[in-house]
Amino acid sequence: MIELPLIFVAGILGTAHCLGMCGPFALLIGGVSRTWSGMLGRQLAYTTGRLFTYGVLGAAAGFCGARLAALVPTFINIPAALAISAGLFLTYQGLKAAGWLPASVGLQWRLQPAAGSCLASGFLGQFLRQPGASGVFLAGLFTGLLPCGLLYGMLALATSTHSVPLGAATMTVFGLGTAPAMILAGLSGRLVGLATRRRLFAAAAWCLILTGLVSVARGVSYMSISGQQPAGCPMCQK
Amino acid sequence: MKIERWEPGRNQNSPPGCEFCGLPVYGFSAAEQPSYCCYGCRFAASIAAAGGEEGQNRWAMTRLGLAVFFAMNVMVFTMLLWSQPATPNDSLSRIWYDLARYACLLFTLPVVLLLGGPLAEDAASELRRWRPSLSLLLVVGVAAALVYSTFSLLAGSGHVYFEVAVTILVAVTLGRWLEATGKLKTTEALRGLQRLLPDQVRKLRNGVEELLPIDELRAGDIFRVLPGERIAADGRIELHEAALDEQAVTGESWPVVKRPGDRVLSGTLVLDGPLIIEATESAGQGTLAQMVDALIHATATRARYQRLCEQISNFFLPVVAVVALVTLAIHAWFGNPAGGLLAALAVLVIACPCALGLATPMALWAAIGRAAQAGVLVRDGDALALLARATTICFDKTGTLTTGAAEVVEFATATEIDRQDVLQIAHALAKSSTHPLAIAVSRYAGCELSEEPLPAHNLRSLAGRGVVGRIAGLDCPAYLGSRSWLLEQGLTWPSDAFAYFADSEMAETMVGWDGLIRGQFLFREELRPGVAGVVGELRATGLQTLMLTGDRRPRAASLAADLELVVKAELLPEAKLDEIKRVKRDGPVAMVGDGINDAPALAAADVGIALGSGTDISRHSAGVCLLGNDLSRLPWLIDLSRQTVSAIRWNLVWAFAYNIAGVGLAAAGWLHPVFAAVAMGASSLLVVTNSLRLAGFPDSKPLEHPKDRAPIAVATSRREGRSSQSTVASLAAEESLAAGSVQ
Repeated sequence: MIELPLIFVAGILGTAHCLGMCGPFALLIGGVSRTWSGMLGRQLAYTTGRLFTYGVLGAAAGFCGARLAALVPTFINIPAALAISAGLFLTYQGLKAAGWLPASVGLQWRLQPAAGSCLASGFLGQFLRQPGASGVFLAGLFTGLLPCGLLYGMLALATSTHSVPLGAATMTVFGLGTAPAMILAGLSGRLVGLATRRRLFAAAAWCLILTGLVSVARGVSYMSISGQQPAGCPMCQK
Repeated sequence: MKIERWEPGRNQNSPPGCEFCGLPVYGFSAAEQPSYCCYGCRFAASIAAAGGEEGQNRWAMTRLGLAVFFAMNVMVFTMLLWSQPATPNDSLSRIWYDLARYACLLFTLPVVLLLGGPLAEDAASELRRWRPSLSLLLVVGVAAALVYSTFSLLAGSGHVYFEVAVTILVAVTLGRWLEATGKLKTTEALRGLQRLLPDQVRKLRNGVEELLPIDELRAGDIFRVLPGERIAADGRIELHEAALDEQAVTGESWPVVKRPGDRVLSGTLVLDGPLIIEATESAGQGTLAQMVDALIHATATRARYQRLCEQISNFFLPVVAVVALVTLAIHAWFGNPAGGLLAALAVLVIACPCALGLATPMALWAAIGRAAQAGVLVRDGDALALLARATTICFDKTGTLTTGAAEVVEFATATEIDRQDVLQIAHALAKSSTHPLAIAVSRYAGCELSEEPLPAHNLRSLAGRGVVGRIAGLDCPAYLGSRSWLLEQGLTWPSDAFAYFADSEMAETMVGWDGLIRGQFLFREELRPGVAGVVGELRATGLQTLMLTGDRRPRAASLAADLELVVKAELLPEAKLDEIKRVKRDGPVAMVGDGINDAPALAAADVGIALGSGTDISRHSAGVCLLGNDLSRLPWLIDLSRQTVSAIRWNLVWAFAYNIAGVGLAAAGWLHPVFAAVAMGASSLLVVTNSLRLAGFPDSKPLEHPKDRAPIAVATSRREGRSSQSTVASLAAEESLAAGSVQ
């Protein structure tokens, strides 16, 4: 998969976005622990939880893609269509993030209220305040479910892999990309400055656009190759 | 007395109900053991009880979180298994898929241990009371799925359904967690009220301050409250003055300045300056305690919709069990026992009546709590539902649309007498009376005259007539009262009376002595601030507005014309009731009155809205109390009630439609239990969020500063209006108590 490195880079750069949205969480994670290693442990547990959720989501997306490919008659080239639509979606997200589309002007992404804050924040907070690593791990697990545009873009890409392991791999690599900066931010206890974050976010936007375009190109190249063999599911086969 | 902890389900007069939500619980119940209607309530109660001890709550959360983690693992392996048919069937991949099956079992076990335990516990405790429960059905279903899958796995053939068992457990628990959180949030406002009373009070004994527990404060004790503290008991200010934040009790967001002699309410916050207060009630019996009592009562009474749901849920469980069994039997008959098991399981999961049970109480609790935050006490849920459907809103005039205080707008004397002398005599007579018109006369005279009123003796008040007495410097009795009474007493008009005295439609009082009527006061009623806007807003919401009054027609008409109200005047109390009954034919009627004089009318209307008795909630018969005496809450309340009823309807429509459609699909075998479980969680989430919207119902447009409001009739400061009004209200209370017209 040519995208995997790109996805990783998109993850790294996308961290700017993550810090804007989930930065407070990152700070909370280290809050309880006094020692440096304790803090690192908590950060790693949190990241592992988040990665795990991303992986599961990616697997589910890959499964959905496979099912879709199996359900739709073979004369429609589903892998190609998925790859192209995922690519277009990513490009759209990238253009929005870059501020080239009116839907999201400038830094609006930063001002988005944390969605699901009503019930979810209490839920996450409960876990984050716990001293042990399991609480933080679970907090990471549920953070992965928070709605996020970047995540949806990547999930679309995972769907286009139409394979459970590859979908999981896509999302995990993306998650790995977001990990270093989040951990560093949590450890250093301060967020990246606004100007830096803005620049990073612009770079992330470009990365998204690039990933999207590659995906579209891949889809177009699939058009010439024959469709995949259908996948089955016990739910529909009694 | 300590204020009872808020336990909504507890209602001594009703059959034993669920400890948390108050729904009836059937079957045997051990008296000392709390009983719950469902697993959700048990869960909510345990989280609520663990409020102090974080530990239990945290453990519940961790358990749920870990279960979700393991469930995710199971799902990933299941998805791998689901895509097995698409991969080449060689021996290596078969080993891999067998491993995936065992991994499913491996990750299912912790979920069963973590979440199955509490569910089984609930089922067992219900079973001990000889009561079948949904938990029991679910436990049986999950166990069946597990046993079947394990056998398939060990036998090496057949499908495994570990994901079904896992998803059901997670979704059921997650749904309950949502419900529990929702229940806690909807009752937060009510529980907040109980925390308003301080634990300790600074009691003064012989001038020495002692810090005592609040229970030791009795009526008549003197206590001190420092700035930033809340007042422990209803009382009267003895010394000092301070701004008070009464928002918690009356909903009034602007601080109120109170001076010695003014009444203060328990639970209100002293903003500046210490206060020395004499308690008029002991700490457990004040306004706040009554409010909490009323709210406990309100949440325990069952609204109409709720009773409907109860009737349905009575036969819900048996029906669901039968449908599930029949589904299993039919599928098995057609040679597909595994499919039948799945279908029956889906029926059980989708038929969980929780959304149905939650639909009404959740929305009502949220709305009642929200109203209480705004100083509106709703005594029962039905009042709110009826208010939403009301087509007519009736107002009492005096004390409701008007403050009850009168204002002298004209004072006329016959020419041959000195104006000052007449006023002095009237002042001397008026100051002894608490009649609203007499109060207005002394207020007017107090402003006009510089000297103290003349000494008077042998003063007598005659109800409905006036005051008579002897004034120093006069050798005959002087009269202050109605025109007809003065004429009865043998006083006559001066020869050219028509030149001085107006023959007005306004309220009047005459003063006279020595055979002649010598002075005339004309009054106008003071409208409550902002009342015209409120009436206009109510009309805009589609309500018919009607004024019912015992007052004379012309006087009422001029007031009604100002407010653009339809008026029914000169109504005796019985006629008021007849009028309400007549209007009732067109639809539910809300009656707004001062809560004490209007008790019969308030009770006769579908919804009584009481006003003007913020300190005595227990006495009157209205379903709704405006504690803040603020009519501008009315349009807001109507809006809230309509939103509440719409939320309840949506909740119910959703719950019914979802259950019926879901059971149908599931019985036919078209609904995989995993999706049924997800749908059930979604259904709970929908009902909970839909109801929680009400708890965050936006406040009415911010109240302006009282001084900025333009009172319509006469510009007097609000404080004067308030204090005199409270006098009038207390007078009216005494009168009506004496007449036995209340209760």
